[in-house]
Amino acid sequence: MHCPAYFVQNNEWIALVSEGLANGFLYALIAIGYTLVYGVLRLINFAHSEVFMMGGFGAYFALHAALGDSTPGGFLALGWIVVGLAAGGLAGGVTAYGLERVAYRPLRRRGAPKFTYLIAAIGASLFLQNIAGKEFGRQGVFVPEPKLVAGNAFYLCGAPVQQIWILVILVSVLMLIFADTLVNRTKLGRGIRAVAQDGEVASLMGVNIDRTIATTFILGGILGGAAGCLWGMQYQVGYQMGFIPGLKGFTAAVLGGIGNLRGAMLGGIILGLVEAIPIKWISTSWQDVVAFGVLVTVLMFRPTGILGERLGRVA
Amino acid sequence: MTAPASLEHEPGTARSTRTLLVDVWRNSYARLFVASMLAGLVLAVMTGPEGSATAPLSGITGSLSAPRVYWFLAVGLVLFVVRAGWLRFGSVVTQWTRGVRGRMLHVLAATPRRVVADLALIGFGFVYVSWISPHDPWKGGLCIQFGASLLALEVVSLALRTGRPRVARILIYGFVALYGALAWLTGPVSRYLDTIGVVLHNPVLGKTLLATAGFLVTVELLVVLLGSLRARAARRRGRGVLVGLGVVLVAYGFLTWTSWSQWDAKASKSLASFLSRDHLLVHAPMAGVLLMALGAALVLGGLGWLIADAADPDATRTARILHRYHAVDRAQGALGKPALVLFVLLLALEWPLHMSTSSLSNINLQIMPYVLLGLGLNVVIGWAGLLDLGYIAFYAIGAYTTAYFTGALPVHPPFILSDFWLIPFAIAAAMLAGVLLGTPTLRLRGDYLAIVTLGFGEIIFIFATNLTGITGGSFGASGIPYFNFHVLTPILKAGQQWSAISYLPSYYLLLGVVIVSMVAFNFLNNSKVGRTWTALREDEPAADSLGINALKYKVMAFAIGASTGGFAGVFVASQSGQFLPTSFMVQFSITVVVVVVFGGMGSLAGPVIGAIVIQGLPAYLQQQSYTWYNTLDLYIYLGAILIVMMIFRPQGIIPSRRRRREIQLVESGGGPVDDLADADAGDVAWRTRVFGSGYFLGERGYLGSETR
Repeated sequence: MHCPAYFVQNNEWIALVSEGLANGFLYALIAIGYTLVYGVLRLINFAHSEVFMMGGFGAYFALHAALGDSTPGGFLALGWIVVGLAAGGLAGGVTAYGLERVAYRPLRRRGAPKFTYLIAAIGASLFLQNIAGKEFGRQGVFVPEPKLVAGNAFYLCGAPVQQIWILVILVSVLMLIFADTLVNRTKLGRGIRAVAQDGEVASLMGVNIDRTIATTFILGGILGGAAGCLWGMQYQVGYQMGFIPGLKGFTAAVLGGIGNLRGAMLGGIILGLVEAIPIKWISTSWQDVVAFGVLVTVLMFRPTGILGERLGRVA
Repeated sequence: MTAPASLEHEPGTARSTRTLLVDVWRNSYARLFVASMLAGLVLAVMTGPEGSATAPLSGITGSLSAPRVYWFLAVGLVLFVVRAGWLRFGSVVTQWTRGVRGRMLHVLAATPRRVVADLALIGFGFVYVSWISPHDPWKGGLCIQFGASLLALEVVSLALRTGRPRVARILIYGFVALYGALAWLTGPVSRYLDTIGVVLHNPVLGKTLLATAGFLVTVELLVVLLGSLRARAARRRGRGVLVGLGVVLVAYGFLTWTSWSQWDAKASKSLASFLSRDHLLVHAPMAGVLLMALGAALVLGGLGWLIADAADPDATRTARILHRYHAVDRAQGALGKPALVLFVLLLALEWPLHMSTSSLSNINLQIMPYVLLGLGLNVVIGWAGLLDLGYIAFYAIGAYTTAYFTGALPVHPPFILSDFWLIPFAIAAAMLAGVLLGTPTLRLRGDYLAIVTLGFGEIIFIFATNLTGITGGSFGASGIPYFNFHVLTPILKAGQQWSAISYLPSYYLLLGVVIVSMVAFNFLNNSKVGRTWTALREDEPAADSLGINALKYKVMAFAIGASTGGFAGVFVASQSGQFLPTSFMVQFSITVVVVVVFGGMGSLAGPVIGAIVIQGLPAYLQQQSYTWYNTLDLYIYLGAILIVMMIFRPQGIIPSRRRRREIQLVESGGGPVDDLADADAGDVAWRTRVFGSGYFLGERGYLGSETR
């Protein structure tokens, strides 16, 4: 394959961009959870980062129990990855549903002011994070990697492209398409959009608001949990793993325009790239500062995000 | 809540098991039962053993193992009974005692918990002083003191609320006389015989009782003094309060000064010990006689007054009571609040003198900084209504400024400052950071602001950890000089043997700062600025349309909060001499939020109580090293507290009146006006009627209120 001379000489670009892209897709998956909940409840679900974390642990425990230290290869590996994603999604969905049920629904029933939602969300986040630390150990662990995940897929202009990046991008694209179809094309999605537009009228039209909101949480939780699984395969699973990706997922949601499903996807990808590229010049510990800078800049100059805020019109 | 249990069933139709289960589930009691039991089990898991990544279920199974889990199921059961409302002592007693005769009991029923608590406190004090710790009477003695004082105040308030202000007054004077007599009797008696002590097989108890009497005399006397001063100077209220406070402080200072000047290493130097000290026993009986005489005279005078009043033919009893009920409530408020403030103030001044070094260091490094942080964040969260989740960043800025100007960082300052001189610099630095962060971000919506500040806190942490050349990196700063000042040295110079003495001056400094900021914040909240904050918090568009510069006032709140946080940073840095960047992690910001939320957003006493409970209790538990308490689990509890508070008591332990009303207002916002006809929501109903029910809703489409 022909490679431009520039990329051959500076081939760290390739690695940076492809890792950034992979991270960006993960941010997109997380961002959808924020955006969906924001659409129906006008609420930043601070505890979404813990949903993501629980997804990571779900995948870890499922794969750890099934695989132990062995690393299957071939089609079997593909099967195990699906199992891990399913376990992660399940854990994420269950956590998200529990959150909605325990922390938010009582407040919603009472019609509490928004402030109390935010504080309850922070409390839920703190609680989940630390109870996970207590029950699942405070050391980070690696999700057992089927062979498909470990190692490099190929070399592009001399730069290694890891298999996990390819996997993350593929899985994310599939899940994003799934989410987009679900929200835009199905009856359930129509319910979610209706509630986001006007809950009162939606309930008059026969939409079960409680159930729709719970479903929204679960949908976001499944995507976030799957992202947690992928994150755990790439990096580590630990009880504090959720905080920074959660912050970035939110940044991605805002960047694309909160309440806007496709915006969240676009925002995630852009954020992943934007924060990866400066790594050529600065140390990785400043990556989070870049992401935060992006967040503040967007909020300053275009608070509605790239694709525009679509409050009440999740789609 | 109560679902129609079996609406769709015709009587006589056979029910399948499934419909039966559905019915049970629809029954709100069944759901409540399940939820309570689950809560008990969650509590069991929270307090249970740790798990690990290799054996993830070991923690949970260990928590739910047989003998242990029964306790928590019992807790769940209690929760269920309480939440189901089957434990309404008050209403039971009310029903049981209808009629005129029941008036006294009715009022009693409203306060049985407090009376029981007071009695329990006294009893505990006696037990403690007699058996648990006979040679250290202070803890038990203080329990007795508080219990007796509170009980006395309770009795007085009972008299007030049953419409007998003069009886109340007589009771107060009666207490004065009683305690005067006690002080007089117990002094010489205990000097020679230790009678009370002998009875309870504890020689020190006599002294403790005497101290209790002395303490109560002082408190009650000052309460009366202040109350009457306030009553006299109704028109010159401000001056009356000032005079009263001045008198109190001078009296207290005089009494304690005498004992301080006689200080020696063995005896504690408090007002209490002033009265119980052997060589002062000569004076104590004299003081006792004086007090007794004063009290008796006033009781007799009051009795005469009462008799004359009862003989007044114009005033029927009912009319008098009805007329006074409100006046007395006011009077009680006017009397009770300063008394409480005074009591707390005396406690804050006095108690640390008895404390061990470790407790004092806990107070100085754990509680007091969080009181300050809580007060500062209360301005931001409670008053301006801005959720700041990166508040600890300002604390960090204060600490790093301190380190910088004392030359403890790798970068050296142009001039080295010491002692108090860096305080204004640190405060200015924190305030500047607050303005710089606030000016761009405070235009944002509330939830955006929360996440931006969260990010800001994280960024400050990253800067602190990674800018090794400037901040010292992950090793933090060390060798910050200790505050060196001489305020209390003449009093404390004899205490060289007592190591806690090095914490005392700092404690009093911080106490002073806390009091000054509380007073200042109170003025601020009651001024135009505070009202503007309320307006912005409750309805920003409306405030905007009135021409209020929202950004200016929000930035102001932010800067005030930041500077308070900055000062706390200075204090902790110089008190401990060193700090690590890990002390500025995001979870500490959340801890401050918990302090404010737990105590009560918008109330001044809230953050103080919050800091004492949220910071003091873990420190205490850690000191005691209970097996069931793991320091790492603290944040589980804090998270749970936040959720539980938001669900059951969003206004906090000590709610601010304004905040409580606001929450009521929003929660009732969407409903029909008739829903608001609760007794305590009259004000809300009025405003809703005037402004229309949609007025208090936030954005349109916010599901909160429509789906009730």
